[in-house]
Amino acid sequence: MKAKKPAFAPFENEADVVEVGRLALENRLDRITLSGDVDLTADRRGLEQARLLHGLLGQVVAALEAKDLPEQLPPPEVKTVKNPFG
Amino acid sequence: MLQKLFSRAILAAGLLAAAAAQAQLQGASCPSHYVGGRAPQITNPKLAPDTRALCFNVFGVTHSAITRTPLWSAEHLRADNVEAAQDLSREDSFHAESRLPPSQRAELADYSRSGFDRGHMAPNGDMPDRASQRDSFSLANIVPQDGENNRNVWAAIEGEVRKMAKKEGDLYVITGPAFLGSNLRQVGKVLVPSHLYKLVYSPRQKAGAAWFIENQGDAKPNVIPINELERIIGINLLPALSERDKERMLRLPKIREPKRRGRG
Repeated sequence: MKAKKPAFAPFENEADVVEVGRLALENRLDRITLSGDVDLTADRRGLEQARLLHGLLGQVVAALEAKDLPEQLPPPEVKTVKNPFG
Repeated sequence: MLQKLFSRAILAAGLLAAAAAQAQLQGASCPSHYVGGRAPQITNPKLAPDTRALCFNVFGVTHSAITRTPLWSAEHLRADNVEAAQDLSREDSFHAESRLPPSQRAELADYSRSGFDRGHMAPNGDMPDRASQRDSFSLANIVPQDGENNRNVWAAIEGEVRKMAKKEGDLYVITGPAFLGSNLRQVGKVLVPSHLYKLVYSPRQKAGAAWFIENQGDAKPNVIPINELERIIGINLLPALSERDKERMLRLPKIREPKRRGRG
């Protein structure tokens, strides 16, 4: 029942995804997205899931603390182009 | 002069038709994902060039090198497959589609710092096994989707479809982007769809309908008949059905307005 430590390198790639219950953590270069939900139940399973999340968020905090952070992210890079199907 | 123009037009039309026919031919290689075994047919000739059909175990995709997204992802959802195995946790990874050449496909870098979610078309939550879960993270099954839309209203639609599949026994589902309007947004080399659709067809009721929604955070989904969706997007999604069949509306569940933090 013990969950192994997932390979999750916060802010270092756009690939890693970890799902705990229906809660997904998605790794991006400029953010970690948490979406969905999970019940951390008062049983062995809940404890394992809580430890896993705690570990992952610890990694996120450590990665942010190690960075030289701006006050706020710059706005996203989105272009406007002519619709090729229009 | 006129004749020359005319013959050139015929040539161009012929090439487009050939490209469309090829795409459909390849689509036919995973017929089990489609109603009557027949993959959608592109009717707007501008959508047809540089498309390629890709088969995965439980869904089929037709990918466009112009948009670097799927044009649709098709699934045959079965009640027994929808009962998700509840693992403690699991790992996945978004990845470029290795069967597509780099000149045609989206890369992870196209989405980075874009502000958009990587929105699944065939949802991860529908996948019955680990291999298919991994498949669903191929960028050939992904479009740039507004994050608020993806995580709220769209997630609710996906949940309702799974509930319906359990009730109906099985459902055919086709999900994809629409690229409408004179201008589009683009992230990296990937076009951002203006809208998204999810078509649901129940073989038991012999009826179908689709949700159609703007790719925006505050958008509300409209429920429309199959043939109206097909006209809007320029794709005959269910070529096995007659126009008459397509008028039989399936009742789709109402999507509850998701509660958003800070607003109630």
